[in-house]
Amino acid sequence: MKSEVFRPSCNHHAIGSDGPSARLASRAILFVAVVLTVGLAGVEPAEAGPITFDAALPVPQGDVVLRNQVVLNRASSDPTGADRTMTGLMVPTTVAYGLHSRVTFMGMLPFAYKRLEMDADAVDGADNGRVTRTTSGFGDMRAMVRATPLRIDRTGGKVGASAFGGMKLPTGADSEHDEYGRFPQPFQLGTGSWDPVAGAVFTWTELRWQFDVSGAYHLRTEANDFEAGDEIEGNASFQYRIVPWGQLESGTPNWLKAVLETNLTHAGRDRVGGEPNPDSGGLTWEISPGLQWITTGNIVEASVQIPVVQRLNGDALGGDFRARVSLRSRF
Amino acid sequence: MRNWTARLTLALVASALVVLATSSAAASIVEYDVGIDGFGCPMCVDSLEKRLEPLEGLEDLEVDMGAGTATFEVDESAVLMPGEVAEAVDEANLSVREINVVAEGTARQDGDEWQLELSEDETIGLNVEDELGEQLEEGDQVEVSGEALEEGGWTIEVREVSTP
Repeated sequence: MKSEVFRPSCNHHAIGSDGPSARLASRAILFVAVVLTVGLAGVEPAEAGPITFDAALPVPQGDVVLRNQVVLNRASSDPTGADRTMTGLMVPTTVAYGLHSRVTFMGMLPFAYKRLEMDADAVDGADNGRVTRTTSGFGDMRAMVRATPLRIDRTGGKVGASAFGGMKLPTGADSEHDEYGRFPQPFQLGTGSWDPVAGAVFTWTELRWQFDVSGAYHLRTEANDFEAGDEIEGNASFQYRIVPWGQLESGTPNWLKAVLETNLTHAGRDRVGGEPNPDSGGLTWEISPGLQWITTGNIVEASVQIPVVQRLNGDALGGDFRARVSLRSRF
Repeated sequence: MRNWTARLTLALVASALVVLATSSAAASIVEYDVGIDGFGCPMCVDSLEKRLEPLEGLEDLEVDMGAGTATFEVDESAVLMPGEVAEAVDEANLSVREINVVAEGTARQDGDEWQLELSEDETIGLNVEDELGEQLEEGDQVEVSGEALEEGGWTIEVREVSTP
């Protein structure tokens, strides 16, 4: 599960569709297949963990981990003439609780500020400069449970595999509007839909480095006559200790780690009124260099997520960057 | 008369010394050297310390992440069993590799089996080879060192026996 999601597509078009029941059945089969696969594969969290995805967030039994992030993102690669620029400032708060040494509950609530700028003629047809639309408030909450059936501890390291499943709840406002009318659904703070997610995480930890890889499938459901495209994601994170360098001596010094992460996401086309939107969805591959400062009780981290490849459908709006700072504290 | 008084005084002093010696006899697992697997970063150390430090009688805890060890002593007035230590390590998302202990108590024999009585309520089994077993006498105060193993219940695979 990604720590937050930003979907910049804002176009609505309608063309022919598949049979809805057949489509739902095939997606349900895919979802169940993913759940079964990750259930069999099973994963374990290491103590530090990736920056751009939360699924590997480690939580010992009885502990609470609070993660606060500030994420600034911008999307302005607009193939249309509307010169759209979407800016988002997200403040997701994640709380994780160790129900058991191998079971963790996680909840995430984002606060978001979104601003969409575009040429006015794209909104009202008149050539009267730029239009700016903004919205802010709490978005959709997510709840997730992660189980770790496989954990192999070794001297100075561990390997583990976990499966997770959860739901995005429709807690954010999903019918907001301004003087220009109702916001496009992807611009709303919430979707209004109940969207399940399932995935798996694999973690390999050494005292010198850590590698995490995760995959997840997000099943989107319909609300407000809109259904975002299902999303499948793959994430990988490599963290390497640069301070202290070399072999550890006795004691417990703070650590500085260099981090390199990559995120591959494929989103299906959104559906409006049951019809697919050709200007939505597509493939995005991002890389994220970052740094982590790890103490015995807190982790401060920062990264910049940069799109390397964006094969988006139609006139979908392409992202520019996502910058993130984060503080994790354990209680 | 003076002779009887001296004898009585001597008897009282001897009795008092016996009572004092019996009441102060050490009976506990006094030292732990725990091998721990699964350390990944400094937060693991904090997580482990947070779970070990509240254990009754635990003193002078030192965790070495690189070597994967936690060493500590236990106040002789407390009885800290290896199972409690193993449970704390597990709750910290770590695994016990081995638990080496030094324990003091009263040797008790039950048939061919030896046990170490740590308190009125707590005993721990002793797995003793014949040669070392010859050094044990029923009711003796002894100090044993070895590896604590969970084999149904907890036992100490005794490597050394001495009189404290």
